[in-house]
Order: sequence, then structure tokens, then C-alpha cells
Amino acid sequence: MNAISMQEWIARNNSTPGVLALGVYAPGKTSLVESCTATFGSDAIEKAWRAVTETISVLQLNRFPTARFRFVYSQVFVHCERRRDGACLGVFAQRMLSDGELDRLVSEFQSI
Amino acid sequence: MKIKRLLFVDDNADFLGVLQTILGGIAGERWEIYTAQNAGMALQVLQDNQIDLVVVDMHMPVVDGLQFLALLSRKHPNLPKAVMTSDVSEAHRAACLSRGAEAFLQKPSLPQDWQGIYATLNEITKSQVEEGFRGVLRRVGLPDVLQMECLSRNSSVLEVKTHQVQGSIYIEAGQIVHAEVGDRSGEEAFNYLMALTGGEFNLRPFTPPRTHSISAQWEFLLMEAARKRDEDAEPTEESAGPVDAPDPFINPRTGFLIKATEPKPAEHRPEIAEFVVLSSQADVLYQWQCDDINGRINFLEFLSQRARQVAQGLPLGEFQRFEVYGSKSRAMAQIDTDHAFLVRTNLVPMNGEPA
Repeated sequence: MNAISMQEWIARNNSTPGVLALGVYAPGKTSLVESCTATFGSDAIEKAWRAVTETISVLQLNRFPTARFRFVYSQVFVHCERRRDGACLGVFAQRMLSDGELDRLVSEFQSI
Repeated sequence: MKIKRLLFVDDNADFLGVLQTILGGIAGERWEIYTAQNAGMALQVLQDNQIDLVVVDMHMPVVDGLQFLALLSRKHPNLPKAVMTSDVSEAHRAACLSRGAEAFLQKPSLPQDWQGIYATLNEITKSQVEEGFRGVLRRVGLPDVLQMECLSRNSSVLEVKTHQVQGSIYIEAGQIVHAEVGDRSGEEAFNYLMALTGGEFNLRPFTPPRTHSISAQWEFLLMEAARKRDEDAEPTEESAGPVDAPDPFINPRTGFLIKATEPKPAEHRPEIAEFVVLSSQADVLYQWQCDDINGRINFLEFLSQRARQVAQGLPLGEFQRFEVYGSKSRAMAQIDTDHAFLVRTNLVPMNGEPA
């Protein structure tokens, strides 16, 4: 994964309506997360993203699929999508985010 | 400023000495550092002091770091835990995190690394421990209680009761000294009680037994009991729960299992592969086709911990559920204050034979 291009991709998409933060993670290489809203402080979102990405290895240990997983809260969900190379996209989004927008983000991430 | 008490458990006395000097120097009066060279000493420290964080080495003799983490999760479910090891691998990392460790750290090899270790551990001591699924006494098994009592060098009487029998195991200063059930006594009674698959047990204050019928070391007794249990036919008290699986599709909370988009619902149907329900104490209220119940308990506790950490400092609202989607299977976990459940489904072709 190219960290620069990922940063650019996050910057291009950080104003997507309903998206609160975007993160990308490649095991052993890079981990980036960017808040898209003032209510998500950078320190808190970095800790949250680390907690999310640490879930991957525990899912693997428990023989669960890791292609797609999601933490669902009453106001926000954290949707994670992993590519075949292990790179993971995390979308912190309001519950009202449309499936179309989410699919677009995932599809773009898969093709970077 | 509240002084934080940290306990470091490592069989390497030299490393503990270095750690105490360097981390003690960095932390100053903010930390009070305790050390222990084995699990037994660590449990004693925990019993005598209000510890805020335990940092465990992976490789230790007798009770290794993973076993010790599991013991701590049971005996001190609210106590934050971390692992510091020189043996860093993804597999070890996952195993430690799933057993309740909040951080998995590499032992410092350079002087400047200690500052990072201090910052990480200090951060963990600041995090608020909340009541919830993990905030209560965990489900423990008979061998776990015995192991904890012996490691802590406690004296107590463990009463074991089923519908048909009642027996006692006497522990004196960390040694199993007597067991009795019906006409049996000594190791025969101990092995019989350890082989029971149902019933309940209570830990009572120590009273001297009428005789000392057991002289073998507790480690040997536990291993021997486990071996016999595997070999012999169990004196089964009662069989596990109902055989028929409930229909989770009646419950709207599992609606995602039907709504999943890949593969297309028209071509595949979900088939329940596993179902587990736990109480807030992590007692198994119901399980169906679960091959590794302790693994699932650990997993649900890990999720509970992660869900809290993800939401810490962010306005996400209340945690509702965790979902996993694969091309051939799905899973969903829900963790409330009074229960937790996990459903796993396999997706089978509409015209195919059930798995």
C-alpha cells in the first residue's frame, strides 16, 4: 500500500456526507486515520482505530471471516472492509449513510 | 495526583531490576512498582494490594503468561492487563488480546524505548474501567478455582454439590490435603468430584478436615484428574441443554442474517451453525454446536472490551452489536449489561443439501 496515495484518497473523501472518519490499515506497514468532523478528536479517533484494527487478528484466531466486519452503535457504525492483500478500510459513519455511498467508498478502496 | 500501582510479572529477576530502576525513574512518584517472578507471587501481591495494572511476560515456567491472563480475567475481571514480551508475533498478540490484555508490548531493546512503554502503560492506567459484561465475577470451573486457591496459598474448603452427591475438597496453605464424597475419600474422592459434569460449588472458610488423606502435589492431582476424566466414562449428572435450536429469525435483532447481500439471498440461505448465550457473569445459559465454549467466552469479552475502547471519547452512542460477513458465513454478537449472545450461520445454496 502506498501511504501517500491512501492519504490523498482519504483527503478526497473526507467530506462525504455522513462519513465521520476514514481509516486505512496495512498490517506491519501503515495505519492512517483522519477525522472528518470536529466532534471526533484526533487522539480519540486514533485510539478507536487502533482498537478496531486489533480486532482483525482476534477474528482470525477465532476462525471468523475478516473480509467485512462492523461495530454498530446507536448513532454510528464502524464498517471495515479488507482487501485480499490484507489492507483494511474503516469507515466511521452516521447510521443514515446510504448503502450507495458506502459501496462507492469500498469499491474505490478496493481499486487503489 | 493519585499514585498508580503497577505489578510486573516476569521470571527474569534481572529484567525486573532494570525495569524497576528505569520505569521508576521515568514515572517518579506517579507510580508504585511491584514485581513478582511467578504467578503465585503475583496473586499474593494482588491479594495484599490495590493494583491498577498488571503487566505479564509471555514465557514463564509452570503458569505461562497466557494461562495467567486467563486466571486474572476470572479472578480479577476488572483489572486492566498488558503483556510485555520479547517474543512478538501476530499469533501471540491475538492470543493475548483475546484473553483480555489491553496492550501487547515488545520488551525494550534500546534505552529510548522505555519512554514509549511508560506512556502506553500510563495511558492504560488512566482508562476508566466500566461495569458491564466483564465487570462481574466470571464463570470459573472447578480446576480454575483449585488452581487459584493453591497458587495463592490459601486455606479453604471447596464444597461440590450435585442433585445426587455432595462432597468437599480441603485446601490448606495452598495444598490439597483431603477430599471426601459419600463413602469415598482421598484421591479417589478428589478424582470423582473433578469428573462431575454438572452441579455447583462453593468456596467456604477453612475448617480442619477429620483426616489428611492426600499428600500429592496439587499440580499432579489436577493433571491426573484431567487425564482420568478424559479416559473414564464420566459420572454424568445431567446432559447439556436442549437439543432443538431456537429459530433466531423470529428475533428481529438477527435480521441482518437475512438482509446480508453477498452471496445473493435468492441463491443462498443461512443455516445456523452455532449459537451461544451467556449471562453477565459469563455463565453459559445456552449453547448449541459450540466446539470451544471458553474460546467464545474470551471472544465475547474481547468484543465487550473493544467496543468500549472504540467508543471512548467519541459520540458513537450505545454499543448495539458486532457483525461479521464472509462469503460463506456470517456471525453476529450482541453484548448487553445482563447477557451476551453470539450466532454464527453458514450460507448454503438454496438447492443444496444442508451442511
